[in-house]
Amino acid sequence: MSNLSRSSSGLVKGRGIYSVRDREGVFVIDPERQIYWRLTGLEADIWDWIALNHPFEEILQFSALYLDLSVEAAKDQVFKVFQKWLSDGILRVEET
Amino acid sequence: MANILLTNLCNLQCSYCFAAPFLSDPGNKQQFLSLETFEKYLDFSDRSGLQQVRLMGGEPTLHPDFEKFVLLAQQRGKHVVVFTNGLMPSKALQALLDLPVSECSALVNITPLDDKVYSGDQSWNVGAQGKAAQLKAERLSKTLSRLGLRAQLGYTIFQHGQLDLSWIVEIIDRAGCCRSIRLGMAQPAKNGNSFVHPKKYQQIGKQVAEFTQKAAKEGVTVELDCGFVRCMFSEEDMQTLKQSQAHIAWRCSPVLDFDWNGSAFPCFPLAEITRIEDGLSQTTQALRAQFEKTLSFFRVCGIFPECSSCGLRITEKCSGGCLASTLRRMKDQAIRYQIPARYAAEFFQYHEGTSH
Repeated sequence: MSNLSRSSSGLVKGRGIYSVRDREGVFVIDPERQIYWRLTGLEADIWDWIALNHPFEEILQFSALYLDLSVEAAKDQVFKVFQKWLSDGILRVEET
Repeated sequence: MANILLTNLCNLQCSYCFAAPFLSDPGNKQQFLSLETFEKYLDFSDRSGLQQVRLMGGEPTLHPDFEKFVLLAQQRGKHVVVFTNGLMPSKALQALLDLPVSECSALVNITPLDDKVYSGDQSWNVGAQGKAAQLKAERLSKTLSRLGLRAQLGYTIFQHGQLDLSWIVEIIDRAGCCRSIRLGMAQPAKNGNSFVHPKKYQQIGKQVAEFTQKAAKEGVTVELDCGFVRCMFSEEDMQTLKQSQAHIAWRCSPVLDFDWNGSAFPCFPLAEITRIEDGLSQTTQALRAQFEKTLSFFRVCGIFPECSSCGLRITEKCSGGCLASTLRRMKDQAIRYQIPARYAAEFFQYHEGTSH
């Protein structure tokens, strides 16, 4: 991933990966790779927020409230979640 | 068990039909199974140890060679099962009547009697519908009387509200049909068909339990097809079902289907998720294993948000309902999320750092 352009800013989930909201979180299912993830807590909420295309600043604001952290500290948590999804292959980076 | 589709042609347009998107051909072309592919299906059945030949459509009896299929199946010593709406050509009916009762079953879906296609308030049928509906009903009645014990009546619950099915018991008495009713639940398809929303399941559950009790008093048993879930019935309902000796399968384990090209798929709504070309060269066991491998990942959920953590589903006492209905809850939308430039640089620096 070291060849990523610093101006890259898009996170993309293609079709074929399904998601569904359940009582205790969000299931993300990739039938082709035969794998699923169960997102809970903040991770599940962030999933919903990006699916609804909430502005990033709002996601930081909501996360800070949810975790009772400063916005700066919440940003690290959100980055961790994004990073996890990228390494799991749920999302990929779209270079712009 | 494995069904084979003889044709996409159907003489009704039921509002709840969940096969319609699959059966509709982009070029509006009529599809008919060839005798050659049917022979392959019979070979497949022999190889898989299947005793039944299960003929579906569309309306399978509209296939011009229907009688030949029945004859070929009989020659192989198979029990012929036909899924029909009962409005069949006389020569198709005769082919079934030529079989002994022990070698033939016709699962006659009589839901259309409750649907617009019979009651006739659809715009495409305005004017003729009253008379047409009456003629259809009379024709169906005669067919059922002739089929007698060969016919098992089926009904698909496709709307909520008062569920009065006592008329089905009356038809069984009048026509001398098999004293068993197969109840199904209409499931959603992409054509915007009528179906029962899971939110209405509990209301339906109570009425189904009451009906099984009434039917049992008349010596008629009720079989609940796939799609029913345990939580749609109260403890009292469960007791009623048990006393009425209702057959219930808390499962979503579709019987294999083959189309006229020999492609295998798990059931109509799931065909867009998984299908296997030239499935007839395999065995039922191999195909089921392949389908289950793909579908099992969707089975972590159910028709309700509570299903994934429900003990009945986890312990496999309930399947979580129809997978097609579960899929309706799932989103397959593409996500394209932009991180603003002032955060993007920082994130990708973080990303590169943690990727190494």
